[in-house]
Amino acid sequence: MAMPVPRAEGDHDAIEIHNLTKAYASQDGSIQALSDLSFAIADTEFVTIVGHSGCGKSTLLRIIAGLLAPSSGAVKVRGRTVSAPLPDVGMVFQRPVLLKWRTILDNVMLPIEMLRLPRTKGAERALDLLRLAGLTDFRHHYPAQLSGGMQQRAAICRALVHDPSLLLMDEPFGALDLMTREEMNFELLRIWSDRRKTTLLVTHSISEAVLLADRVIVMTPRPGRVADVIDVKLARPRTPETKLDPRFVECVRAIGRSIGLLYI
Amino acid sequence: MGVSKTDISASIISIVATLAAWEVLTRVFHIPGFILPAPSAIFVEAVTRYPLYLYQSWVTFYEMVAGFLLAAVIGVFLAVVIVYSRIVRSMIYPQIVALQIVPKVAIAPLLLIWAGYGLTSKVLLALLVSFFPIVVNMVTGLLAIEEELLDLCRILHSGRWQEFTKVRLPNALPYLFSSLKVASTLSVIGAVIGEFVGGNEGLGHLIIIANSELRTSMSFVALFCLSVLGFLLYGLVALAERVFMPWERWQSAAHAAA
Repeated sequence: MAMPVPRAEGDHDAIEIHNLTKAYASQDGSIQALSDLSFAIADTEFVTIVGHSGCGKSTLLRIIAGLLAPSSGAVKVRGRTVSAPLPDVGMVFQRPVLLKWRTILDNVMLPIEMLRLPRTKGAERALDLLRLAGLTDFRHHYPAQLSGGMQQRAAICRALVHDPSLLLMDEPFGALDLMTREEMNFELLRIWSDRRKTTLLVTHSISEAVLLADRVIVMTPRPGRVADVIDVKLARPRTPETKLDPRFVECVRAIGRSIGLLYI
Repeated sequence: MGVSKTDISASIISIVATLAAWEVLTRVFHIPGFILPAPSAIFVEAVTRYPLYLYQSWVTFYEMVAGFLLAAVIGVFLAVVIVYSRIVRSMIYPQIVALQIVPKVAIAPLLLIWAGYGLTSKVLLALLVSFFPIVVNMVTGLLAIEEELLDLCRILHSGRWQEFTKVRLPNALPYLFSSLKVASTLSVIGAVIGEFVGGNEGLGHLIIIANSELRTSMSFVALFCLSVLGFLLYGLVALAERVFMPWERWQSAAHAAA
């Protein structure tokens, strides 16, 4: 499917972030949300960001998606500086925010309609994704008929249907109960291994961050800075057993230390 | 939301019991018909002169439906303009509120001067009485969008038109329909006020005549017809709501389960 943002010439990281700073004006002066943030994400890499609530993680995602302008610094997606909202991005939010008057299939088709992409091919992709997410039988249901986890799976399908090169996820499983959350982690990994998008996922669960990622970026509390970057050298596909791997535990510890939690 | 058979039989029994008690009381205490006619007398009046009541009901129904439909169209239009244009909002919102505050009964004589004794003045009154809740609710509905959905629209370069047709408008439908239900009952009031103030047709006019001639049973039949008309319009709106929002059934089921 033709994407509105073509790949620029030359070798680029999928996302480059250079000295990003974001300050908000407030009643008592300005609030520094992000301070001098720099990192890069390679093509098809899965990176997670962990940090305390209010460390500017969501702000960062909104800046990368072009929804928010940085105070200084720059974000480049595939070598191009982001200056407007990017259709090359698939976004998943903490809540599924599906349109309650549309069936699941029609919800997944929303990006195809809005970007005016060819319908037949779009519908094919939508059905493929729904099959991958195990929602085929529910494609003609309304969101209210589905559980929270199923709704969020539909939201992931919606984020991927226009074949964006980037998948941005803002605490996508934060509103789910723990057991559903575990299931969704593996569900996401399965979909990701099939579609291989460059993925940036924000979470405040350390174990979720390690389980999903190739690399974990640890952010400091406000103003958000990169405190640490931890490479997760765990084999894929990851399974529930992965959590028992000593290297998994080591990563969790390292993150805990740099966040300021004490682990023995 | 479901209505069970017990619910229905309970309401029927209570209505029958009320009517029976009313009948008995008027007979036992020899209450004169011009003060409180017995249900049987009212029934006789309705049956013997049903062409009159049918015709006058039709007139009033026409006035309220026309006023109601105009209110819906104008109300929705105003709401869209208010939401999308800051300047228009600051220009017309205060006037709309001011218009709502003025008692419509007080405007009725003026409308008669401007629009004459015919149907137009009644339609205008029904419109005036019922459009305000539509504007207010529709504005709320158009603005009550989750922040994330608006972000999604921007990422997908939806443009204002698609954002309006695919997100804001359907999102406002539940708000619109609840205001249309309120407006449908208000439009009866508007039409009757108009007929009270001046005119020679409609159930309101009939009530004025019945009162001046102390034919109270006639008043009661007219009152009954009025409530039937109100129910009818309300029912039509509720029906339209079910047709246009098939998902709402599941929505309320999900809320009940949560």
